Amino acid sequence: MILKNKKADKIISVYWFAILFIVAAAIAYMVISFYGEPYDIREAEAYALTNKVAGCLSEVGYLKEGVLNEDFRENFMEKCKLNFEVEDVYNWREHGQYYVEINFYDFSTNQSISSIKKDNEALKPDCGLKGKTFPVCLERSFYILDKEKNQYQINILSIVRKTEKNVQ
Amino acid sequence: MKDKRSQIGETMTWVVATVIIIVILLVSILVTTSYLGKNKGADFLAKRSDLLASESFFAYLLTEDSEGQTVYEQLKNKGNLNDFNGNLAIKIFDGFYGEEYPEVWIGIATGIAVSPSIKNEYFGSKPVLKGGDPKYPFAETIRKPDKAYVSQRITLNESKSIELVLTH
Repeated sequence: MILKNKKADKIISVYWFAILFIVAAAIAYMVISFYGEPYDIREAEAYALTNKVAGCLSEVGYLKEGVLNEDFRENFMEKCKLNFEVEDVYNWREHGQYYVEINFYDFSTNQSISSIKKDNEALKPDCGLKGKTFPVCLERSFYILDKEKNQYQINILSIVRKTEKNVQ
Repeated sequence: MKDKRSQIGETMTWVVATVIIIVILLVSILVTTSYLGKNKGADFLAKRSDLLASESFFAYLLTEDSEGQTVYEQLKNKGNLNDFNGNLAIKIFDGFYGEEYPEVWIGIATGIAVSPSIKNEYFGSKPVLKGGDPKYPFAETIRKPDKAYVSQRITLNESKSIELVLTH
């Protein structure tokens, strides 16, 4: 009888270890699958970039002076304090990870007045495509006046790629 | 005999317990992998305020009609939106933000804090905003789990203000 009980105890111990292992493995799997997935912050980054550009072009409803000049277009990155440098990983330095395009239109006639394009324009064709592995594109518009009360529509297209670090 | 019966009873209890443990673990794994892990975006960072809508709102209020009166002055002197500023508001706010925000409203709010509004023929009645904080009458953005909105308010006089509401 004592022998039988000992055998049963052994079986129960093995069973307990098996259950413990299953529970631990399941928890580990859950933690890895949750925290293993990176945060995709590209949309937030595109919003931040758009806001930064908009803030650089306008001042409480008015277009900043000189924004439509050639000098501003040429020195846009310095004037807006933008820096598109990225880490030297995944060949990112050779292929820019950002693209910004700003189009100025006459608000009444919808005629294009001027445009500014910066960094990797090759990202633009991927914009219509759906899927996490494609760059995140954000196109937003706003209405603005210049000091002479001329009305403008400004469209800002911001594209952020950085797929490798944001999507698995 | 009694011992054997009690052993069978105990074994059955543990078999059922094991099945329950495994089911709970499987459900947890399923939820973690299919829902929680996949929704790790950061869009909540971006939608708390809308700089571009604010800029458009300021420019809208500064726009002059053919008599040289700004929209701000028109609204201050008259009780509600008129043909000029109503249609301009539709062109700007519905046109630029109508796709992004399901509800766009601009109109006169009576009182300084969160308060009743005057219905207008261009945008109708102000959408019901849950969780509005009367402490921030000028610019408030509150994200509730069910509904989030951006609200920008400019005081016209002691009893009324012009408000832009963009609801997610």
